[in-house]
Amino acid sequence: MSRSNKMFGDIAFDLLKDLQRSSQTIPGFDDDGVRQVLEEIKAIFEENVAQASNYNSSGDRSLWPLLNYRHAALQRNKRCLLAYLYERMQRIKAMRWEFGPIIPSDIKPALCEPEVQFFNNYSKSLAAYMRSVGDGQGIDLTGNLRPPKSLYIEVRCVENYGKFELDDGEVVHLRKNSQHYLPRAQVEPLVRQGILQHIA
Amino acid sequence: MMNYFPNYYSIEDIFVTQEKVECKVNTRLQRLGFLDAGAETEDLEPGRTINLPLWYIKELKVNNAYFTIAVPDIYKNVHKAVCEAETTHIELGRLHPYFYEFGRYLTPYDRNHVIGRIIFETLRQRVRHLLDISKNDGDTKHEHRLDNIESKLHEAGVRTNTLYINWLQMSGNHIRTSQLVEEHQKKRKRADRSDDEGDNETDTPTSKKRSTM
Amino acid sequence: MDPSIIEFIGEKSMISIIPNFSNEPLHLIYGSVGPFRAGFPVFVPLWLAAHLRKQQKCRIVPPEWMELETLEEIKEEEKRSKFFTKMPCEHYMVVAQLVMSTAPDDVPRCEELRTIIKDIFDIRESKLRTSIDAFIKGEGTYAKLDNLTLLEMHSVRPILPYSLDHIARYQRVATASQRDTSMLSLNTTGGASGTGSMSNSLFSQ
Repeated sequence: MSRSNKMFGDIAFDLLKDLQRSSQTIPGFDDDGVRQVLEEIKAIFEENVAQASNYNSSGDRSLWPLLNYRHAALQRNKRCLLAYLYERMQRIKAMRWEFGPIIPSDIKPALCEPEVQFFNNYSKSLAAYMRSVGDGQGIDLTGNLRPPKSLYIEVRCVENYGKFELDDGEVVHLRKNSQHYLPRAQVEPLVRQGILQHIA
Repeated sequence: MMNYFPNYYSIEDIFVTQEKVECKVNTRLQRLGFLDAGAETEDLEPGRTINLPLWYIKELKVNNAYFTIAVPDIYKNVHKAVCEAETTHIELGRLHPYFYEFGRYLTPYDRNHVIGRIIFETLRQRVRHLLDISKNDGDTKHEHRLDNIESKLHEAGVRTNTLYINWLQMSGNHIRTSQLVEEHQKKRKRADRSDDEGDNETDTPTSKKRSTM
Repeated sequence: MDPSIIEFIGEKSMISIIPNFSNEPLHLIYGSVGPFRAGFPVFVPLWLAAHLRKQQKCRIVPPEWMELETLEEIKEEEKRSKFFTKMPCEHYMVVAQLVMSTAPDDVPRCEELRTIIKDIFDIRESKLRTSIDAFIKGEGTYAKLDNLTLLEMHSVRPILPYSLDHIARYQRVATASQRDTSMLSLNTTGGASGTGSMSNSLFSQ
């Protein structure tokens, strides 16, 4: 590496710094950054292989410290990269529990294709699991996060949502600022998604 | 919130290990000159002092022949306060954002064997203070007072206290908007407001068939 | 644990109500309650009492301890003792909170009671923090605290176990690195801060 202000591992570290500092739920997948880190890893690896084989034949240990340093840098890059992917995966999982099975349209472009696929697969496994528990009846594990106090709750609409059909076929119009007395279990997802507000 | 145990994927730990440590070069190191910003030579010359990232240092043996690690003064500076059990007033965050974890990594390189003891005693003495401030002034920011580990503990304490207060006010059982959704909405609104063409309500009646499962 | 879950657990405690209706026993998953006879007291779980009270189907009979003089005594005793005294009910906060919010009219001098119960909780909570401090600074390796109620324990969770985890990690680092302790004579920290002698007495074995 030539003498620039960037040190080995700095680009990889920046990936994580941006991820931590971003005010968004999940910032856009940094294709370019990831590619640069992969290139750096490859370059370090190739140089090290060349010098290590030279060392094998000559026994000259004078480049040992350089090899050592570069190897640590390679490991560092790898760690940052994996941590970047892992942290994003954690956030994507959390999104399933908090937003529901559909990724909000303005967040979706931030994910790369494999991440969208991961979300969908995760969502499917979770749904399959939830259907399988509870004596074949299924349990919605994303609901009733606190012990429920009553079957019905009083809610106020925060935004114009439109028609909402209850399990018994009754249709309610959810208009901004309108108030309703509805079955807790059925409207909980709407409250969690910020469409309704639980008032009593 | 989870407790913090640094592991391979821990971003916190990656941040800590990004910190630079001052080292003295002991011997000529071929083609490592790029590590020395002030030198124009290809090799790293003995006697030079350079800053190296912790992620590299921690791979070196304590008694390696290449570098001597200089332990930063911040730990020596709190020594007296620790001995006198007067650590609560120290602005730990100002001394170092990762006072404890950085110290933990440097412990093996400290020939006086005090850093380990200092971080252990400092936290031991400050837990009471953390419990108190989480209970009594949850809203005030303590950025300079607390290091990263302490801020995390403080957050956990404040959260417990908020839940308790909500419960006392009988609102503990209300269903609330998911945290992620809430943050997301706030940002969307802020973005909407800063939009210049923000004419009438852009309340998009998003996809109507939001199923539950 | 979220206080609403502690409340859920506490709602299983039994409480006396005087129903204004008559009914056959109710057979619930965890057991049967009733029969109900109008005007005659009957013991039911707290959650059911609150539910019936909201529908104006009963009057709640406050537990014996929910009475000003008794609570004054408990408060004084709690102040005097350096240990935690035994509370009249494992879920005293939950019971008080639920009964007094759903049926304030059934409880004489409700507001005064509310204040004194809160006082007792606060005294105990600050005692807990003092004991924790003494324990952490002392040399003991374990502590036993009797008579703490669930909600009180949760006032220091998870910050306390998290802190202890970190302290333990740094202690391991310190002992591993330290061959000679002559540089720092910190073994007497407890004494220097004036809490050492108290620490062992608060944490009875």
